[in-house]
Amino acid sequence: MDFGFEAHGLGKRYRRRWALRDVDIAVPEGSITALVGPNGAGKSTMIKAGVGFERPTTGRVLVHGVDPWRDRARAIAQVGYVPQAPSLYRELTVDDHVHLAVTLRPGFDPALARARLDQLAIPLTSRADELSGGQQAQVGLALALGARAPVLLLDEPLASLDPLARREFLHVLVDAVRADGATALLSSHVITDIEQACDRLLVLGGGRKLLDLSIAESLAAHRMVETAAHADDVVGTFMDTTGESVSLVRNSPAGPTHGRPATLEEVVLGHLAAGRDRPVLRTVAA
Amino acid sequence: MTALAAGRITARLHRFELVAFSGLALLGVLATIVIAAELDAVGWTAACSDAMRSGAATPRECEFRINEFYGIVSSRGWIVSGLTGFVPLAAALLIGVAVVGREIERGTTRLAWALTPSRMRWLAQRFVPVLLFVAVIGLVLGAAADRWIAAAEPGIDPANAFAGFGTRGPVLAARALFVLALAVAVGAALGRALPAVMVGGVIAIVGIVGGSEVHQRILRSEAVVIDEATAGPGDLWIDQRFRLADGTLVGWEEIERYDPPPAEFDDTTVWPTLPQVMIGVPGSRYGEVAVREIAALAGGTVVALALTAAIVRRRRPG
Repeated sequence: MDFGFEAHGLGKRYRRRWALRDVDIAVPEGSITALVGPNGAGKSTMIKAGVGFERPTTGRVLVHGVDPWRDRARAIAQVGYVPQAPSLYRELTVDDHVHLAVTLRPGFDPALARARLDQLAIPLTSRADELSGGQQAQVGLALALGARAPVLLLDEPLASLDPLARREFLHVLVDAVRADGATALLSSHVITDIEQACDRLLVLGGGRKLLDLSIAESLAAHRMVETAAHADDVVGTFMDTTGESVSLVRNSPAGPTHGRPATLEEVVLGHLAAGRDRPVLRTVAA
Repeated sequence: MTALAAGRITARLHRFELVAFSGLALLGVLATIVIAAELDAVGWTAACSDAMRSGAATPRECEFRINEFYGIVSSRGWIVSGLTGFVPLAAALLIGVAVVGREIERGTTRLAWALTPSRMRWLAQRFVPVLLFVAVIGLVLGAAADRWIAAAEPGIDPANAFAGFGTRGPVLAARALFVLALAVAVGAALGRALPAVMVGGVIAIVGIVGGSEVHQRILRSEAVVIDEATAGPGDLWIDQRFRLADGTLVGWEEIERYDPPPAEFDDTTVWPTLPQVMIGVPGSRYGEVAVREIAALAGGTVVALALTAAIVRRRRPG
């Protein structure tokens, strides 16, 4: 199997704190992988390492087989990146941004970028500071897609968007990725949205990888119980919205058969709880 | 086509600064033309200036004009020298820190650096249009300052005179480009515009003043003896000496030994009586010295640019 994005023993330390430690992941080509975790889990660090913005302290990242820190030019040519905050030039119009991308990136497809923007009725003549947050995110995505890169790295682009804008954004993303056969790594807090858009789930907590499975496998591999019969099967315990303590357990032949299927949110919360010392409230990531 | 588009985008990013400094430069040129024409109209000639410098009797036609001439110089001259001297350096500093520093501060480098496989291409697209703008502003205002020197000091040939050295002509443009390159480097290193203006301003002042001091020392070592009779208003004065009968030169600290002062001074007393000579650099060397200064500033500019390139290549985008 070929991988669009790989991390091998990836570690990143900021002074004394490790943002990422010994992370091994491999994102299959053509997949849309959700990168989920609480603040400070290392999601942005991992994505920035993929764009060559962060130098790994240990290990390495490969984007379409290229190490961005060793060969940034080749790696960037493989990547379309959407940063966390819209990083548009407020003095420039949307069309200026398309021109800017043409001048900066050989092979940039302005027609594709303009078509995406047109689809969303984003006026090309508007200045970036006249656009809503959702429109700015869409411009960022259109520029990343116009690069026609085989790998898309999206660093929490949904964070500041309303539900409708999030849905539109994900719709455009999924459409484009399916059409081009690209690989996407999308970091997000919003689990309900990624459930519809993504086919893989990668959970980071405390700088470590906690889960790396397809969404279907993640759901099939876990269930929720109020009390766990076998402590070994318990992934993590957290408080329900009612204040009840509930546990995410692994489905196994010897494990509990009672309880109910877990939702994706519960899978994530269970693994995050396992990665923390204190209990996780269900509402944290909702 | 791509270069034009890149230039247009860079111009839009710095639109306010470009418009503001173009306006100030235009004001400087207009002020120079108008005020220099006013000085020319006074009729204060080279002969008047020479008489004033030498302390000889002032020709009668000059006596009536001296107040008017120096009245204009002292009341309005600062407008010209302020605009011509200040605008190129201020433009270089304020635009320079914005080239990389403001982009890092606003986070737009995250977009640009993720789009381009070559950060050097991005830097060139941002820097070259600004470099051209500052060079043009510097050259135009440098030429205006030359015109001002010629008007304010009649008898001086700006191409062969050290008067106003560094604040006029191509040397002014070279200084502005040096400040621009420094400001870009400081902006890239700090990643914030306002602190970069302050730090860049201090470094630019230290760089220019320090560089001038070094150049002055070099010029002192190259100074020659110029007889009073052949000294011109464009020469660079470094020191004064007195020539003894045997040709030996002595300074003020020794003069009393060889030429005792009279017991009493009045308006007619002439002392020292020994012939005076000037230690200096002839104005005819101005062009050569200016080229040397420009070469040194260009060297500093290249070093600052190399530093910027190294920072941009390795830096986080903010």
